[in-house]
Amino acid sequence: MNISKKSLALAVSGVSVALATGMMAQAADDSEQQEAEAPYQTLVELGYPAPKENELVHVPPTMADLEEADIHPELKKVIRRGYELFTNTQQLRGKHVFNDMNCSSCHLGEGRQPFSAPIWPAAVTLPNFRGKNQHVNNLEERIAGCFAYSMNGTPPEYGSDDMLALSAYHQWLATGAPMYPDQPIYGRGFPAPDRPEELSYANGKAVYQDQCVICHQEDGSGHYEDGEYVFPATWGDGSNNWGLVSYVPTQRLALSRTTCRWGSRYHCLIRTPGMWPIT
Amino acid sequence: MGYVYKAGKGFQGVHNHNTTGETVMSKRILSGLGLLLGAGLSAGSALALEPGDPQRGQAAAVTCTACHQANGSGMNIPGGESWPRLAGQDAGYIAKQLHDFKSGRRQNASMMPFASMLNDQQIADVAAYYSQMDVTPASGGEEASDKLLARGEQLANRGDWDDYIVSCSSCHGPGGTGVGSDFPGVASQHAGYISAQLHAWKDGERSNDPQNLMGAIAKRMSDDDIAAVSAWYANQAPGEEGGE
Repeated sequence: MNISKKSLALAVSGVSVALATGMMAQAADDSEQQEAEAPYQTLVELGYPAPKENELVHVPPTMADLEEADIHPELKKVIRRGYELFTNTQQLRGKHVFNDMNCSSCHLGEGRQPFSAPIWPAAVTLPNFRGKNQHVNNLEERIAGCFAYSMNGTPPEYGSDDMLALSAYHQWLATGAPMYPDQPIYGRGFPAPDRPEELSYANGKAVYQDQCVICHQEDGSGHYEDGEYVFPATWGDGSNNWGLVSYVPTQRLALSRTTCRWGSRYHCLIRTPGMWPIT
Repeated sequence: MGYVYKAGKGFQGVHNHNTTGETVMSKRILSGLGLLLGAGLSAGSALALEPGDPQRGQAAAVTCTACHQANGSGMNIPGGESWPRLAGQDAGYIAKQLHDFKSGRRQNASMMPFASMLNDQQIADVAAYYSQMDVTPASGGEEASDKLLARGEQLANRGDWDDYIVSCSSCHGPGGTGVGSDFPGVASQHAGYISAQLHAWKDGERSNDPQNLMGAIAKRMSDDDIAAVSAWYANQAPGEEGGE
């Protein structure tokens, strides 16, 4: 990587870095250049934090970029397969997935979206020590963890075609980002809300009924059409399992507040012990 | 807090006036309207309100057919005000729109006088009448280019997160066929109508959606985006899955 880390910290460079591999032709285009000068401006306008000066800002390539990319056609096929699995993980139902969710249910924007646990950071920060299981994990083990803890599932085997496809998709999204960056990553994970001093079940219930019931129903069972969720259940077998709910309630709350579909509202979950309302 | 009170207040603002009452309201329309109307609309008729009856609805709908057609297909009118397809639309959704036209919460010069002619029972009946019709084909997407339709399909099924536009299907359901009484079917709806409504939300002229769900997204859509989804959904023939 011959681009200095300092320049990586700047928003504008983050994009050009992301575009550096095989996509320079596009970057030369005036309109794209214009767009590249303010990545995630839409998010900032919506109230998300703007990138800080020392943060690594990376705009992952899209699937349209993949078509243009100068990489082996066989690799493109594998990355496409990873994208398909990521956005329609239900095709692995009964084999690797036993709830109603897709990877992209939580990792919004096909895994590219800041503040919605974008997945490219995993590709540049792993292998690393993980507190949850107390040893050094690589990318495949991290993906396996998602299957086990969030999909109520059984992970695809290490080295299998499905695992290869998923890890290739992660890595493709990280195209141009530095390995083991020493800067904080803009938009990584979910922004967890501060815990209010006083917790109130009544407030949580009121917020849920005010804001959430329209989609998730009074009892949190969600809404399904032909067996496919439109609005996922907020709890129970069809939803995320203990890995995301009981173990890290703050993550779950942060997730719900971010994945909230209309983007500018906060969710509040009251069904799970440890949840606290945002009021 | 009743429907009418909320309706009057809600029209003035986008964010703050249409939360609880809205949600509760739609549930109550589904479950029988009793509590809803008890809140002060017209207590006399509220107590007598029966579930919507399609046969009575047909009689009450004679004035609707001039625009919405006998089969409920509506009509796409390029350059003019398109009349939406009502056939197969959710009864709770239709009833809410009629109440909103009546109260001014949804403003439309054409619909206001007609909605005002219907009492609460007739609204329930007319809604039931149209809801049990078969979905009809839509127009307005015939001339769309492949590129426009590809963009429409993207927005409909996957959204565009770079602009924070969630997919239409994440609320309107797989294939855009509608979800419950709050999220109407948009597949096989006329392009002219979809486009006009999205522009109305974008421009702040329509705001009777629950919790500003549609308004927030419409404001992030470009004119091209609106043209794209309108054409794409108009091309989704009834019975076909528009989803992936």
